[in-house]
Amino acid sequence: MKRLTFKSGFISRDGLDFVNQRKFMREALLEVCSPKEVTIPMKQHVGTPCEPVVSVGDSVAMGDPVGMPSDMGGVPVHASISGTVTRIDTIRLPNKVSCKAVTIKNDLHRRVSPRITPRKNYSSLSIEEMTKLLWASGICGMGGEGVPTYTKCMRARNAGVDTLLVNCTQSEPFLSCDLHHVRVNAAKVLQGAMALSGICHVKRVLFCIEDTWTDEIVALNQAVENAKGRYLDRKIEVRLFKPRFPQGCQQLLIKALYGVELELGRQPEEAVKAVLFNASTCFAFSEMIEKNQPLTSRIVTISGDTITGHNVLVPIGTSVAEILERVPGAHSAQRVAWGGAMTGVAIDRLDVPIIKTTAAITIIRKFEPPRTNCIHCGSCIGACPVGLAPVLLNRLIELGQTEQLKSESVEQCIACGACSYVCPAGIELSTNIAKAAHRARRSGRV
Amino acid sequence: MKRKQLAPHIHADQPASVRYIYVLLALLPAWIGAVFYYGIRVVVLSAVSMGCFFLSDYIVSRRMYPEQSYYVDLSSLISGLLLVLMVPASTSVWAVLLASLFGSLLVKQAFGGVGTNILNPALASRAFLEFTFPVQMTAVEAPFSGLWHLSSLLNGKPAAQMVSTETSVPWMHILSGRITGMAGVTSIVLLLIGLLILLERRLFRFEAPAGYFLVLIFGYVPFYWDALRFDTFFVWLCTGGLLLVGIFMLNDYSTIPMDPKGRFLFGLIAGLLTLVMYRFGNSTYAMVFPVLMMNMTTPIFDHYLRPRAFSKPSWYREVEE
Amino acid sequence: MTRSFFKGVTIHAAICVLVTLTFLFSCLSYARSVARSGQQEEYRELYGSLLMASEYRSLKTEVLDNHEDILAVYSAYDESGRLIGYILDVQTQNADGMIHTQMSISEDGENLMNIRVVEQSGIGEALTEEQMDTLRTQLKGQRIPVSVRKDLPTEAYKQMDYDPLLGLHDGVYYAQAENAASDGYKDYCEIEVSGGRIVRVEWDAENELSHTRSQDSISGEYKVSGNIWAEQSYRLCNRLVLVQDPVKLAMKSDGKTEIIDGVTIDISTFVQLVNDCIANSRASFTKEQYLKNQSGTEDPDDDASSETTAPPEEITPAVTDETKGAPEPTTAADTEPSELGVIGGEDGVVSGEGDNILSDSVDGIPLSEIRTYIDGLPEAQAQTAALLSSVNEAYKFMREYLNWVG
Repeated sequence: MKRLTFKSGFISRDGLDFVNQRKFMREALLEVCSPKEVTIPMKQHVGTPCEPVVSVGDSVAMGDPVGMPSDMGGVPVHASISGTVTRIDTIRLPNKVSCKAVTIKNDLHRRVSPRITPRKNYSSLSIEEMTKLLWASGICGMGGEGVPTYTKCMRARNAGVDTLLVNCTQSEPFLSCDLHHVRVNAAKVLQGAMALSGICHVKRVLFCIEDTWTDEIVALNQAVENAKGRYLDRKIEVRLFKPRFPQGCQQLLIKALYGVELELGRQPEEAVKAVLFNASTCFAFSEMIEKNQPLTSRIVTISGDTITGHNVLVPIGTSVAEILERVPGAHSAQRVAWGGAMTGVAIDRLDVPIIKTTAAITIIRKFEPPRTNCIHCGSCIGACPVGLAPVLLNRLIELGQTEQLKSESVEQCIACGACSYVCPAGIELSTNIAKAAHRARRSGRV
Repeated sequence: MKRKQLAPHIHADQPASVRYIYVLLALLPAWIGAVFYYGIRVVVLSAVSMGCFFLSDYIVSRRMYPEQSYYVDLSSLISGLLLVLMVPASTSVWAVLLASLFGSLLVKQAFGGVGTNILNPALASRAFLEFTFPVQMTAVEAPFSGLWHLSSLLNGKPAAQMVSTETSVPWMHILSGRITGMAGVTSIVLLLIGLLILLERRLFRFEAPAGYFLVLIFGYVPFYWDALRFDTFFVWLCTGGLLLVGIFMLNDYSTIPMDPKGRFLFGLIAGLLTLVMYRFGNSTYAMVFPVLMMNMTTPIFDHYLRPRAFSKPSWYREVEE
Repeated sequence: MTRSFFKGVTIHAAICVLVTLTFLFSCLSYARSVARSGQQEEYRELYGSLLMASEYRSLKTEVLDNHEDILAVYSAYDESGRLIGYILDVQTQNADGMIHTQMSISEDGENLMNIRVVEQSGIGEALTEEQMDTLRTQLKGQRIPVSVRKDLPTEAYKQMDYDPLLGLHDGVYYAQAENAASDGYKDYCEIEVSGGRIVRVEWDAENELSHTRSQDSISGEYKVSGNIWAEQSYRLCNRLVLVQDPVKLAMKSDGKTEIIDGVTIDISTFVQLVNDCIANSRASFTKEQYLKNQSGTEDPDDDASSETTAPPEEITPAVTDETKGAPEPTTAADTEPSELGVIGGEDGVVSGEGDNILSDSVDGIPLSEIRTYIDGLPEAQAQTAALLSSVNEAYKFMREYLNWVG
């Protein structure tokens, strides 16, 4: 089968200290984490923040909603454990979102909300019912984007898309949480994707996966074969991609698949009539329609150069510290990143909660590369997946030439970090340019 | 102590100093070959050249550019070594000393130090020698003629003058570099071993060399239509230092364009100029000057040939005007 | 800049150095072997027509220093490494000019295998190819040294043309001195006649202890000046086999001869005994009869046959009377129809052309050593002589070299 890819970016190699990580991705270890307490932020998605619907002292069961948005622009959040609400205060997440958060103390009873019951007739649900379920489940883009899936589906339906893409390519080189779902629960992922395709009125479903994941591809093909009889009106295909960072990025996946370059602010729904969902999102939605279980936990990949990797099933809201307690070798870390190795945010305090979009915790001991002069090597130009010239942009930023920056399309930067990754001089290109891009977008909007 | 911890948290395993060390390693076979054929003089010359290049770079950059003083630049070692490989083994120490000072101070530091120099320091030093010590540059000697000969280090006189009766050199000699010429550029195989190291470390950027050799090989026939001499052409290709230029000069960081397309075009034009120089000049000129001339155009390449950003038409610069 | 990085660099550098050095040295050794086989190819091209061999080695010996005319010597070996011959590059100079020849000689240094002229100047016209072919057919496979027949002073010295004495009867004949010599040995001589020719001559002596003089000379007990006595005796006998006539040994009045190389002893006893033997042969007085006679202390004339022209009486006195050993050339001359009798003068000095016999040597080689005589080219005598002189130079070198070697 033809393998698709885009130009530039870089092929993640095992030349790093992450060489052992390949193994764990093959035989991903799944652990279940049972935290002492969870802190559930009210804004884990893009859109309207939720308001707490519980008060201090309330007893909640797993699956009970603790926050509801004021309109349909947001999605509710649910209690991920059973226990008592001890605190409601404002916290600041590493992604610079400030919001209220509900802290629940675990009573270790594992009480499950009475709403969560296996649904007998889930295959005969109407599209309207499913749409409601989708909103109520609180699912938002679990690959890191954070757009509520309900919002996305509505947008897709309005745009009249004809293709639903399931993104099984990991957005970062050392993640495997989505792939875990694909391998273990391929049928459920497929079922979730089918439900979503029904909501979006889409007849064609494409699974996008990198060709190195042979086990996952086998499982996926198996699931597709099994499902063909049930979904006669849908066209289900599996597309293979060459492994290349940042393949998981929406723009680059579209580029690889359709050869269309998404401009800033242009959504794939309008550009190529396709809507993109993460494999984890699909899985979460299938849980919702089968068991009426909202999104209360997710798989987090814990990787790093000092530890062997884990995939851990974590209730939403668990603090990073509690996860790292059970990771051997984590104490020697120089830094902990809330997110993947390429785009994650380094955190100083470990009491940061895991939210719906946190796919990974990365533990780094590696030292920074020595900072030297720019040697004019042009590696960053070759690496930039959206065709920018990071070295020039960085120089313009240093010189403060904002107008010039705009004409160099700095706002296109997707902050993937590839330029900083390849830079032999250790220049923080990605950070500088991403900041400038953010400013440019904001000023452009105003 | 704590620097800002910024994403990405991982980096490619080849910072600049590591790249420079591996480029030095890639030059090691050619250097060993030079020592093998021309003896102890090459060791002394390269020590002088590399030491002088490195020290003057180090001292001057600390004085002139305090903001660069937190690291040690290893690329000057490469320039020093390349310079020695491109001169005859019988060059005097004084010539090499002068040339490396020229390359370090005038070519490199005067333009802002590493990464901002316009001309390749090694090539510029070589060109400087071509004009200041023309006799020493032409007094090449045959391999094995003075392995322990040291007096040429002071007076620049070769151990044994070249006998210009190279009627038919065995191909084995051509491959192994056992041929009268510059100290380290004559062996194609040794340079290719260096190329292998660069490839293995993924340090070889093929665009410019590809353009260069494409033009050299395919441009020869139309260019020399009236005087086709394939045997001498291939001997020149193998032993005339073109491979050194192609692998190391066209793979330099500071002095060739950053964009792949620009590099390829750069290599094409350099190859064309090489053919012209070989036709109307001599083989040393053909080795040194085309790349130097193209170095000066690198900023133009960098300005006009750039990757196209998403959502921009290909020639957006003109469109915007 | 971690430890693993330095380890990586070290490994890379080590591999790099190793590969480079391996490559350089293998190229060097390959170039050397190519040069060596190219040299052999060159040799084969040069000398293959003389002597085809799988390997030619330049010979470097101090013997070469003694031979300025020998430009180069190569020993030739076959595939199994066995020595099959030598190739000599000879440039000889004479008063007229010079000739440069190359020849191959068998491994024992005795036979000329092939020869060609590389260059000649001053010596008449260059030899044509036909002339060379003629010479080659004459020379090929012949023992060296070589001389042209014409060089010989008389026809009598042509090897195969020495006329035998007349009237000899086949058989083994023997003669013994009456008394022991002053050194205590009693000389005896034995000849074998076959087909009218003397084919074997043996001269020795025996003392009281039954030690032969030859044995004693070999063991060092008996000493004479020059070569050991056994060798001198051998050479003398051989010469007699060659010339057939003791007169032609050119004994002088002091009992010595000059024409036989390496023979310096007094040969008068020998000549006398040989004459006795010849007389016995003519009388068919065989060795058995002689010995029987000796034991019976009788004269052999009893048994002398009546056919002989020379009466035994005349011989007997010759044996008994002349103790000092001057031969009786006149007697011998009388008995011979050959006119060569005049060669031997009273004092052994011969006149006329015979003068050459005594002093004759070809290219510094005594005639006695010359093994082969060829006809040469009558129309190109000077060239032939020059050619042969180069062959003989080669012979001289080979003689010395082989002696030096073993």
